[in-house]
Amino acid sequence: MSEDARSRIAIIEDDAQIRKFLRISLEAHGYGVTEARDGPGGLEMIAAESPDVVILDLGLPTMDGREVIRRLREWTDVPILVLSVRDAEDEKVGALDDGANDYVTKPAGISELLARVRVLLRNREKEPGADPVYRYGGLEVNFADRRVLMDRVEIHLSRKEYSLLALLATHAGQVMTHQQILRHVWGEDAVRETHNLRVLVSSLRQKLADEASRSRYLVTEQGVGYRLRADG
Amino acid sequence: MRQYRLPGRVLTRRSGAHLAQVAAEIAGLVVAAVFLGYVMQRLHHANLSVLFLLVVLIIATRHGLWPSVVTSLLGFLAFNFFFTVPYGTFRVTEEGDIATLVFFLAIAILGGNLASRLRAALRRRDQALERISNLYDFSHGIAGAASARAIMQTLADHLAATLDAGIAALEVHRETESSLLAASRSPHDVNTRTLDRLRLPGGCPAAEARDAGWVLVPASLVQGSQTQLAIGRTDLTGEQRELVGNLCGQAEVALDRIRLAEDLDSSRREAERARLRSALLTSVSHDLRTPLASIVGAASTVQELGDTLAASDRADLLETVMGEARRLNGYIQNLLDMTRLEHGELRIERDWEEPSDLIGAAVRRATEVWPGVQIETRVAPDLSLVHVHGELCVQALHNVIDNAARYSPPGAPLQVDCAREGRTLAIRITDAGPGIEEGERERIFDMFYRTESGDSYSGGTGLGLAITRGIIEAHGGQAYAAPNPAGPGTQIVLRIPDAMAESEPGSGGP
Repeated sequence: MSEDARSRIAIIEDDAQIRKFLRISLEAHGYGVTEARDGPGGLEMIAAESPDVVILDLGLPTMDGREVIRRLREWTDVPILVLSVRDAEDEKVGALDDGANDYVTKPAGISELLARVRVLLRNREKEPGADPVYRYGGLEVNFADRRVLMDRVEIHLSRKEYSLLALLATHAGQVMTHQQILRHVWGEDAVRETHNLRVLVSSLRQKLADEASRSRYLVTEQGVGYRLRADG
Repeated sequence: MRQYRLPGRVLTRRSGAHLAQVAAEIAGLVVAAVFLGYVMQRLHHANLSVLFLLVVLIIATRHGLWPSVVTSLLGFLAFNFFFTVPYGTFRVTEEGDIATLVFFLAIAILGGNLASRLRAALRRRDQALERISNLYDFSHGIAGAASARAIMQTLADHLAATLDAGIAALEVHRETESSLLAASRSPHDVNTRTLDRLRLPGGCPAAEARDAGWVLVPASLVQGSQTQLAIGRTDLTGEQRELVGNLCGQAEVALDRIRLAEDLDSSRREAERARLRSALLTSVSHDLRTPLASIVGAASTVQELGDTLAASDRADLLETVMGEARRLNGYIQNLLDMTRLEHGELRIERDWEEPSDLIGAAVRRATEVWPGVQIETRVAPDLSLVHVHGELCVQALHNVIDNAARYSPPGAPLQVDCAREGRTLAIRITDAGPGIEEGERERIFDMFYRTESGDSYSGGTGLGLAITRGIIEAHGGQAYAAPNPAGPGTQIVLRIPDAMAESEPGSGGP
């Protein structure tokens, strides 16, 4: 909690009620909060304050949320958490592919939102010296020697299975879109071959003894991508 | 009434070249007859006159009246010159010869006249037949056209083939402002260069179009606005112009038919929409207000009583606020889905999905809304992927689970089974609730239908299962209700066809 106390969070959201409840609960958890009600104001605020995480509503007046993401990504890699509504599935995926780091579907409880913020803060902090090991439940991924252990027993993954798991583990707790995964595992030309991705996920789940319908590790984000669970 | 008249220069139908050809033919035949007469050593006059008559009739059937008259006169002169005494002059000394010549001329002109009339009648019949078969082909072509655009395309292509020229249908907005409605395709395709020459978009005056080798024909193809046909040749015959008029008339009838069908369709949709709207109002006023009332009640209690409330009571009330708010969100989602399904705005965007993934997502969502309800899932191992719209299928499945949770007694877990059955993926959601009478089983999929239960507020909008059926059917599947095979309660079955059953070339095998 002590390192959280220094973290500052910028909120770009046009609805005053939502800004209010976000500010109250974020401040109660020890974060510093700054607010803006539209895209241009938000961009100015972020340039001036350089916050640690940006919470961005996609449906903004005057400047679309995705435009805000594109402008931000021209000069900063500050983590962006997108607030979206369930219907705007394409928008959500588009925002992630534009450079947003994760999303929360509105209406969402504050605990879910806080968990996402914590993951983003942690992944941002560990970036330089990268944590050499991912651990969650019985699963352990050792990046240095590319070893994967389940309940301390080594499991053998194919090259692609490891590539997928390692990508998700380095972004533990954070969603990775189908596009991002396809590009990482198969390369630029394979971004439409979702069929292969499903098969790969299925075989990885089998080796992790994970069930899709009650997943312990690898969570499907319907229509968006996958997320590897993390403590938080 | 409309007129289909072609502006522009009317060309003389018989060109000079044609006249020369007829003349040569006549001369050739007359010379041949004279030659034959000599070869046959001056046949008897009667036979000779028959020979010349033959020539006249040949010309009459081939070229009509006037050439045959010319031939008769020529034949008369040739007969006179070569075959009457004294030979080699136009004088006639024998009275019998005079009679033969006069009769020959009379019979030749009469026969030529008859033959040419017969020829004209035959020609008219051929043309009528050709026109009828052309119109028939065209009406056959447009009968199957389902849209105004398709009709105009058929018209353009058909005219292009008939007239052997490029065709463009234009909508005229102002004197020099038109836009393209349809253009004939290969082999008479109207390419960008020709459009450029017609200055499209924009459009040019008739005189300029003619200079570019196009004629503009007024036509009425779009209601309430002026339209033209641009035809890529300027030497149209009267028959061809008439044909253009006839085809345009037919196209217009077909366009009227489509407009009528659309009007009818839209008025039917309008009536349905009105019914939906009133049902929606009922639903919103009753079903959305009920959870709102709980929220306001619980929240105001916490606000009023504050710290004097026991901690457990406060938590309980706040849980009510959360639960009812989530439910409200679900109803709004349903209302949105339903309106989109009704308006045909729900696009099915298929992708490969793992069945267990879909079930997992739906179960997770249902657990959020119904934290107290136990859900047991049994998914057959090694199910192949399905090619569906994932998010919509999750919504369909969630609605069924949500409905089952609503009617299922406390402590009795819901059952979700998923297995391959023949060529379909079957998902069975079973509850141990009160069950549904056989006569009611179909009706639960009707919009705004609810089974009457003891307490009036069951908490549904009566939309969920209708949406489920809408989504599953949009995937080519089935959704139906059956009794719980293992006791009281209901089993809802969703069947989604195998990915293999639909032909989806290029989707990539495993």
